[in-house]
Amino acid sequence: MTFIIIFAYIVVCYFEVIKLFKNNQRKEITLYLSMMIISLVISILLSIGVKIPSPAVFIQKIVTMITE
Amino acid sequence: MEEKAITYRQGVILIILFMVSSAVIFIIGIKAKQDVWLAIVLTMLFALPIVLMYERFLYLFPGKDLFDILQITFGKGLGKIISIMYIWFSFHLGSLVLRNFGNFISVVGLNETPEAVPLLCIIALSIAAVKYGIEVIGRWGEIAVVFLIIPMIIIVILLIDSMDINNLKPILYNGIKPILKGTFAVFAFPFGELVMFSMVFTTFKEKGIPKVYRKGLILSGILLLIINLTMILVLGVNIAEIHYFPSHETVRRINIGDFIQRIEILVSLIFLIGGITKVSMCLLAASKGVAKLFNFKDYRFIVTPIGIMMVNLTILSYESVMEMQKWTAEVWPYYSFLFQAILPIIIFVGVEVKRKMVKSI
Repeated sequence: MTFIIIFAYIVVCYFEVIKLFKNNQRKEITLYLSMMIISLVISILLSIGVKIPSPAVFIQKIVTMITE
Repeated sequence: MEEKAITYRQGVILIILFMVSSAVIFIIGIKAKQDVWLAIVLTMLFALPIVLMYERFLYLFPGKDLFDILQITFGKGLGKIISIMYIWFSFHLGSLVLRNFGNFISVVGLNETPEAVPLLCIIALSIAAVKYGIEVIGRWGEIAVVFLIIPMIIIVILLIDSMDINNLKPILYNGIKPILKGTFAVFAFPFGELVMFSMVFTTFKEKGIPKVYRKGLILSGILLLIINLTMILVLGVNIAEIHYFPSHETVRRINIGDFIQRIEILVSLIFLIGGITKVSMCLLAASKGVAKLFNFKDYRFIVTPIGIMMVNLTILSYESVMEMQKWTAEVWPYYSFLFQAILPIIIFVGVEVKRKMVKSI
């Protein structure tokens, strides 16, 4: 499963980065790849079954703190 | 940034699709019990001034979206901080809509399918739509809205037979307080979410004062009123409360001469058409914001990573349907009120003060 995810990410990145590379947009490539790597890490963690802390719980804590 | 323009008609249609989408599968403002219709009418009144503020932004800053306005009004530092908050909000709203999709499909239709599969299909479509730009989404909407309105009319007409007017009575039985609670909930979802359009709409083909928001608000409000009234009339409050997706349950009851039956797929169709628009709008707003934040000219290159991140957030944020429903009922109204009412008012005051100051100089 993990390999399929990594493969899919590489395919998507390949097609999109080539377009940016031809236009020589360095900054765009940096931002694109850094965001892709973050989401790749999250996807792999999810596929292994690691529990990632949800932002919903965090928001809930803040809201209950303010309303009470 | 090279902006493509849409017409007023397309703008109104996009607002209708956006509003009707995920609100169609729930009864919005169920806290008001049988007086849901009163809550919706009240919300339309309360939402009107806020919507007029967005219209004023459109009129004052033609060709600029909310992120530009923030940077012009509050300067680079504070403007970027508020921009980040709005980027997070649109990103999160998109993931919530996707989550509704996942829940609806897994509860109603495909029970055994992993949740990621329908989500990936939908987000792929949205990414493609956003990459083509607002103009293409607008033209698509003009065709799609037909497939949204006609099933709705068919459903309402076929259900007239099983309606019971006693389900609406007694009016104002518990006093005004539950209605105000319901109004608050309806404002948070879906009326206040119109703030998303202040980040999306920039230029229109026609000249003159844009009246897109008020027309869209009134038309979609009427549609939502009809849908919710139908659901309450057919099911009654007590049954409607226990279902996660009451409209699916409502349409299931259609049975005309043992021939026209099981047409609940129409609800899925309506939800799908509207939902894709909603996800696309959120994705468009988020990617525009990120591009503006880092001073890029074009937003198109960043759409795919944000879309995939949205799916990730969708999968990790809630564990079950119950958890999500509880969260949206208890936390969402208060949390979204910051973005839907408080911040827009602050921005509006800032814009007006700034205009006065600049003129006096």
